[in-house]
Order: sequence, then structure tokens, then C-alpha cells
Amino acid sequence: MCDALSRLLEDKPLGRITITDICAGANMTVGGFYFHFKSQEELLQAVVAEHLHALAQAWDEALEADGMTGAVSSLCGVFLEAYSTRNGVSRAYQQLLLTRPEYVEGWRSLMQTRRAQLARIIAAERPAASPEHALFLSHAAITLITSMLNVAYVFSDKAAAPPSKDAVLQELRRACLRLLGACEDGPGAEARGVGS
Amino acid sequence: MTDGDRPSGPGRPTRQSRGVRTRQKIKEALVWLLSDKDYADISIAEICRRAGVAVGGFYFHFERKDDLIAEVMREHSDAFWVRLAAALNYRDSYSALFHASTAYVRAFHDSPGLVRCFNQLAMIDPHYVRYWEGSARNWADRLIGLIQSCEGGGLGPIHELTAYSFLSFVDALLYSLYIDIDTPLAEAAGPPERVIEEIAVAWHRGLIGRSPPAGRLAFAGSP
Repeated sequence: MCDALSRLLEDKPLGRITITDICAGANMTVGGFYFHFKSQEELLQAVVAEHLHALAQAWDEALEADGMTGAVSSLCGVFLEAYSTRNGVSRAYQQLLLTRPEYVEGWRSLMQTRRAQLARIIAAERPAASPEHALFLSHAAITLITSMLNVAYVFSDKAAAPPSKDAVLQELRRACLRLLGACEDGPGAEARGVGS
Repeated sequence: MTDGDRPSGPGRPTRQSRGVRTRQKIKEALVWLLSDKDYADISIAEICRRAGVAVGGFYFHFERKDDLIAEVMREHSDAFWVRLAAALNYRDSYSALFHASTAYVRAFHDSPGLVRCFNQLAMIDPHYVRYWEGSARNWADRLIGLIQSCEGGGLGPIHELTAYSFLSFVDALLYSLYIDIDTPLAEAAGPPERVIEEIAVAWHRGLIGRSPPAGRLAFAGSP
């Protein structure tokens, strides 16, 4: 049934999906639905939990990559995958984050530990930066990734041609690495480029 | 209310300027109440109490609560976009970005209640979103133009996605700093003056590909 809801979300906004729709998609009776879930809300929570669990795992793997450039590039890929392949669920989730504080709590707790870890990775390559600054940069990078993906996949007109995944990934990496003062070609290149 | 409304000469009739002031008081009362409460939880009676106006007086100026909030929102967003547009009068990229960042941080820091209200309304009424997005795209296009003319031919094309996303990025960042506060982040970010610079630097790096000249930065430790 989680799969059925996820599939339905690809085409319809959350507000317009009914239990009947879900049951039809899952080949189940309405009675069967209520055997497993007390309400549509509970099913939604399960779908979101599944989505976040997958994201958290992939995020943790990304942070094991080599160095800041590697970690950030992998992270861009992870988020892009989540937004592009689970587009319906991502859209619904963004909507929930804007309207339901309890979902924001969930996001915060998932995000904060990983943000701290990314901050440590950044600090390791930016010894001149204070820990507070590294945390700010880490948060900024994560926010930039989600903002760009929201613009590309959530706020965009579904009818318009979606941008190519490769093009989005490239631009995402580029913007993030620049934000962190790194260069796609590796650390140190930024220092050579700074002029006035 | 009945303070001396002495026209200093052949001015407008007393009743009309009193009407204008009452309207203003009502709007200011709503803004004041929004700093603490959600729009949905504010009653007309409360607004009138705060404004020192009779409920009948409210209805003379506004047909419904929604008309009042629409006017307040319009005025504040117009004022915001005017400040943001003014940032584009600067002739170098960092100055423009710095002043845009200032307009943003000031709006979020000084009037978080209004920003929160705007976001809540945007959830229910698509007009707010459309109007905002129109202004945002317009401004982003002009910003790209300004940066490209300032930086000369050396800068490659600025990707549209990045430019449009930066406004959304600043919005989300400031939301976590001043509205739905993320405490560790707020502590790390520091005072508004510092936040303004951090955002301007982030913007500069993201769009142009390098840090602004070190001499322009007030806060050390922006590696």
C-alpha cells in the first residue's frame, strides 16, 4: 500500500488522493486498508518514513566518500536521486514540511546529525574556518541542494519538460562546491583563482 | 483619535485625514499582533482593541479580515521588492549582493511575524505565490544581467537554475534562522550583520565562482 500511495503521488497531489484510490492501486479492499492502518494519515507517515530512511542511508554512505569534494558531490547525487525517482513523494513531503510542524521535527533530527558530520568534513579541509563557520557552510550546502532541487523538480510546472538529470547534477555540484570555496578540480584551485 | 487635528492651512477636511489615520492604525495593530500570533488566530475584535477603534470603524475601511491582510501583505512585499530592486543600482557585483542580502535579512529579522504570515497565506492562496514568483524571477534576471556586465566577458553563462534557486536558498536559510528557529544554526550564524555578510559571500561564490575581494569583508574567517 505504501507503493500504491507513492505511485499515486506521481500523478496527483496529496490532497486529492482518497483511500479508494489507494486500495484500487494496491488491489485491496477498504476493510483491508483499515486492518493495516488506522487512517490515511498513518499510511502517509509510513511512506514518509520509508522515504526518509532511504535518504538517510544514502546520505550516510555519501559522507564516507573521500574528502569534502567527494562527499559533497556524492551528496548532490543522493538528493537528486531522491527527488527525481521519487518525485511524487518528494513533492508531497515538501508540502508537508511547509504545513505540518511534526514533519519538520522529523526532518530536523535526520538532518542535524548529518549536517554536523558534513561540518567536520568541511572543517578538516578548511582549517582556517571556525567550527561555527563550518556548521553554517554545511547547512548552507544542504539548503542549496534542496532549494535547487525544489526549483527544478517541485515548484516547476510538471507539464514543462523536466531538465536532464545530468545537467541538473552538474549544476548542483558546481554551485555547491563553489559555495564551499572549493573547485570541482579539487582543493586549492580556488586559492589560485582568487583575485580582485 | 480626537487629538488635535489642526489643518495647517487650506488642507484636507479633518474627517478624511482621520479616516486615513484610522486605516493606518488598524494595519499597524494587525502587524503588531502578527509578531506573536498566527493570522488565523487573530480576531477583528482584537485588532480593533489594539488599534483603539470601534468594530464599526473597522468595517468602514475593510469588508473582511482578508481584505485587511491582503493590503498589509501587498504593502510590505512592495516595500521589500523596492529595497531589493535598489540593490541592483550598485555598479559592482558584491555591493549589489550585499544590499540584497541586507534587504532580506532585515525583512526576516525585523518582521518575522509578517514573513510567517505570508508563508501561511501562500499555502492557501496561490495568488500570493504567483505574485511573489513573478517578482522573484524578474529580479533574478536583472541580477544575472548586472553580474554579467560587472564581471565582463570572463564569466561563463550563469545557469538559470542556480540564479533562481538562490532566492529560495536565502529564504530557506533565513526561515531557519529567524522564524522556525534551528537553534544550533542560529548560534553558529551569529548576529544579523554577520549573517548578511555570510549570505552575500555565499551568493557571490555560488553565482560568480570566487570569493569577493578580502578587503570588502568585515568578518574574518570566511575562507
